[in-house]
Amino acid sequence: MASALIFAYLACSLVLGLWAGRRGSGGTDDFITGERSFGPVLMYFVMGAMVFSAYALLGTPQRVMAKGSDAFYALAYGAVAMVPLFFFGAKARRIGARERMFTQAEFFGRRYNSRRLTTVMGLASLLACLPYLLVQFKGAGVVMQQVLGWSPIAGAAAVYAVVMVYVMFGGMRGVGWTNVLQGVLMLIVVWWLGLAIPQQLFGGIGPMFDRVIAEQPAYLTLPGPGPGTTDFQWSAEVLLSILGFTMWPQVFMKCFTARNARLVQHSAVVYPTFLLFLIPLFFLGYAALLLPGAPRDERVLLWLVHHPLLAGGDVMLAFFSLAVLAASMSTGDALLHGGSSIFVRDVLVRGLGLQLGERTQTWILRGSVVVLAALGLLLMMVAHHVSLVDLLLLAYAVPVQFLPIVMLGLYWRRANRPSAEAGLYLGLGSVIVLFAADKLAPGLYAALNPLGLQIGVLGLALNCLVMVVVALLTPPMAPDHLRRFEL
Amino acid sequence: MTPRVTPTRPAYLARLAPLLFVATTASLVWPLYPWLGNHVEPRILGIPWSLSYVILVIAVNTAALVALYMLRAVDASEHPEDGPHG
Repeated sequence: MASALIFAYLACSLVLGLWAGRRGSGGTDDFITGERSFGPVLMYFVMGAMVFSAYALLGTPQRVMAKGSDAFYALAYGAVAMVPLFFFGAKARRIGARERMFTQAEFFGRRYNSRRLTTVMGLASLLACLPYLLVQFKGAGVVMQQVLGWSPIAGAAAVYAVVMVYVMFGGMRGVGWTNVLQGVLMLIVVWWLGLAIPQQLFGGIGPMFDRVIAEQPAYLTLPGPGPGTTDFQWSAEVLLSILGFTMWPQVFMKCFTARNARLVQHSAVVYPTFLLFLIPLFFLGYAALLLPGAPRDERVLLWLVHHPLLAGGDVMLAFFSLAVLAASMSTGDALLHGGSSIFVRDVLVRGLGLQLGERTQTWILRGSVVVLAALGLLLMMVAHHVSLVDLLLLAYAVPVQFLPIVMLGLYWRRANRPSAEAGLYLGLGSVIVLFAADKLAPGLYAALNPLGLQIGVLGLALNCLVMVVVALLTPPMAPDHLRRFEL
Repeated sequence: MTPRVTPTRPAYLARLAPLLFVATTASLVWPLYPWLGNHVEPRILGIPWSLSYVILVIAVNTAALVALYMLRAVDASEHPEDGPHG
């Protein structure tokens, strides 16, 4: 049953994505922003489904089992994460439409009148998105292995062949409409399982937590089970995630897909209804915690839904597998789409100054989707040689370096080209140096970072300081230029 | 060109709103979260307080965002060129 459902779902995604792609003009603007035509329903699912990835579905219950209530950090930072978008999103949408801009790096490259800045932001964005792409591939591979018995690489390749085709020929519209299907699937399945499984196994949510309190009380509050999460670590991860969340290029770029400026704010307002789907995932994590023999890795939910004590385990496994694939694909397609857009617009067109016609750009965009998908598979093949945790650490630290450029660029007239370049280069440079020192020279790293702060925080502090100081010491940009950016 | 539509905008709300979100952010980190949120009791609908508390913060933030959106308090100016191609 599960295998039939999976193939039917993949076929539906493919047809829907290709059908959606036929609704537009097929040009560059259509591929990258869907010709800025998305209404409230599409925006809701694009934002929600894009954010919640295979890592949310597979990793959240795993984190509950490993670290207890530390797992709530995803809900805690999500509570505030979209608020910045509510404030700056409408402005970004207006300026983006007026100036015909497609990507975050293009936007700020023009704001600071610097092609170098666009190129560096674009390359840094590509670097940051690769670990996330790998996580999505791994999520798809785990499901295909569990359900069909395929090797994870073959499974991920099959799933992402579908994604690749609908992104290549459906563009942003393909991503948007498939995200509706994927988002609906994720929400329904996760809430259903999150309420049904505790009910079947323990008689409800309340009785389940009664048992957690009796048997595993340390898992309900910080610091949690040993070695535990300190208040400082909890606060740092919540704050850094809040600051970095809307700086992710694939999130920022969604401002440009909305039909009008108010819709961007609307997306931020309704986003928490999607966010709450983490709650049933916490329930499932606690349910697994109470059962003997639960695996401690990302397969824990696949194990739980197929537990012999559950009635209808086959149906649950089938639908949960679909939900994981939906989560993987809805984030993976945004990364493939965003990454190809960034590569073509920021690196080739703006960075290298290539004069590419509309049709050529569209075909290179499609080719880049294939290259990125191939890179994702390649990373998966060598993944056992590299630490995913390390890669994610680097990936978190990069987008947060865009924060000063974005916020000061949108709201501070004094922010100018020298300050933006100096801040960004220093922020990114320090992140790379600290990351390398941590791996290659631990003694030096300990001397550079005696408090053991996250490297993104250190880079951000330097970045902000330098940007403000340089901006105050150098002349502001021309008033005519600033007016184009509503300053 | 059609004149810009400038809706009524309670300016004080726009100024206060960021403070509210700073406060809710503060309520989720040290020292407020360990003090106010990091407990098992009281439980709401059987859910421990450490989780219920975060859900309540989300509810407060959402209510504030809905109010700001409905009142058009933050950057609600709509240019006629807000359409698909600017």
